[in-house]
Amino acid sequence: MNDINIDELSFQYDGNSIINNINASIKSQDIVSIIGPNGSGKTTLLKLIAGILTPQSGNVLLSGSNIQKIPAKIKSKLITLVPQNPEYPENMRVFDYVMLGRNPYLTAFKWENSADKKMIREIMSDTNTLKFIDRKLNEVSGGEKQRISLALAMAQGTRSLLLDEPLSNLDISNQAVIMQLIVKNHHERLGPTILSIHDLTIAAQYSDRVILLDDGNLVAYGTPNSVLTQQNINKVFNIDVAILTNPNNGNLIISTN
Amino acid sequence: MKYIVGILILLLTIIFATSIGSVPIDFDTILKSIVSKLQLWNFDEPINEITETVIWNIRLPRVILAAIVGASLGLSGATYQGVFRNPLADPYLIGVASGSGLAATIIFVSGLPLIIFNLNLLPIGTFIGGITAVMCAYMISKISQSRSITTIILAGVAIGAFASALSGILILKSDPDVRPLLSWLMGGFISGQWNKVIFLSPYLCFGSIIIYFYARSINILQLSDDHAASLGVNVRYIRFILIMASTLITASAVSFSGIIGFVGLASPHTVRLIWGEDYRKILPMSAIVGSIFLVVSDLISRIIMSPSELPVGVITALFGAPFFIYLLIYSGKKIK
Repeated sequence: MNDINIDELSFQYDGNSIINNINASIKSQDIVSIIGPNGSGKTTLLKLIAGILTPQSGNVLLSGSNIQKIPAKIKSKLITLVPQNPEYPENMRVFDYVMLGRNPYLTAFKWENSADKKMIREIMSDTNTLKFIDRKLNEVSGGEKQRISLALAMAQGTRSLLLDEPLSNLDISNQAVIMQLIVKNHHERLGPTILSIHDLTIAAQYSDRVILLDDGNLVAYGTPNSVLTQQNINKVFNIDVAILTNPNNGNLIISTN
Repeated sequence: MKYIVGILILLLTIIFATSIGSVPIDFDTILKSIVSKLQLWNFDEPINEITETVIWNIRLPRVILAAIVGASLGLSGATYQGVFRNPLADPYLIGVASGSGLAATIIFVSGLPLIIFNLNLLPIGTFIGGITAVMCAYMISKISQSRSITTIILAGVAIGAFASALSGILILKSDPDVRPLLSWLMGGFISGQWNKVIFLSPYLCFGSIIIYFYARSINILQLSDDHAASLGVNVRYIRFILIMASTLITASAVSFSGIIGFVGLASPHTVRLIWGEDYRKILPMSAIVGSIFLVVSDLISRIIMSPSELPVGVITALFGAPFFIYLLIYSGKKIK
């Protein structure tokens, strides 16, 4: 099993509490969305789960092992975090960028071989990025960049994938394309997918579980239907919403009143 | 392939630069002299002894010294740019060169012996000066808690200016007899000799091996620190090692050639615009391009106002800057 267990996790920065005593058990087969207002601690929680930040107290357990104790190189084969708005070095070729994802499997003396190159081509074909393989990164659009950065994460071949706002700055059609890629990729991996997201309707549509954060506290954790209630949303976001059902597919639609 | 072409152009440039001077020597003679000196072939007619002396004792050491310093500056510039994820980083701008220069000035002015127990103090002193400058810049960016990586560059600019000002005061206050010794601070290879070449080469070799060892990691440092950490890179450790290695190379170059701007900035940029952003190519090509650039600049500096010489730093800026501006505009146009 590749479950992730978050155990009494707390994190402070400069004396301010960012994450307060969070407990959650994330199953390996789940896509989990972290939602909450700006500054509620979504990014910090993701960095703690990925082991990039060290908590003051509590643990993150990856398949039962404390993430802080796993050596960096091994950890990078198990779990990865795609940050919000990744850097795209403008003169770097798209292919070389995606290849950076193979780093955990390479050393100073063992560079990428033909198997790695073949794998990158396959991933680029899956993410529909193969057609600009030889372009530089400053020659592709925002939606294309998101697909490229997803391809980089997929090249890393980790069991668990964390994504910090993978839909920022995307139009509605690119949002759907990216979410479908994330779901498809999730089924090809053995571990959970955890993403922070602002659009509650998209969170409801694509996730198995939703974590609702407010000011570093876990307000609710469960299925979209149980977490995305008028009461919860009103409490955390301070706004009145209507929760409707899409007549075509039965998904929740959350709209302000 | 591009490396072979690059090295060939460098060799041709070196021979060309050796052939030009108050006494012109033709290509043919220089090639013959080199071939017979390396004992690859014995020619029937020996080369004129005076010509031989001019080639081996005056021109070639100077040209080779310029080539090594150019390679050092190009390589360390490329490394700083990669490590700080900033195209403005170069040994001159982030204060390393000025820090090294200040240390060298202190050593000269204080009248310390240059050699103690067969150990040349100058490169050690300049290394300490350079490392102090870059560490100060790093601390300032930490204390300011700025998340922007630009802060370290700006701090470096300030520290560099401060160090240069201190050097200026020290030089003015110094014994008039010492001042000529300090003229090299302006940058130049007037007294290029083989012993300097022999001294400098190990620093460049050692530094480049360490830097090239991490070339692939520098590519990953082009992502954010968190992203690089997610990919299994120990960002702080690698950054530290690379800063030490490139400062060592810069400091050793400064200790023999003075402060020469622009080579470390322009060479990696030129390479990046032409061959793209892969540090496994950027590092060696920046060294080659920096080398060619400085050999040509040094040649121009000694012939343009012959018999007097201009500081080579003047030439690198005078010819490098317009070329660099042209490149920037041209590469901007290519991107729609």
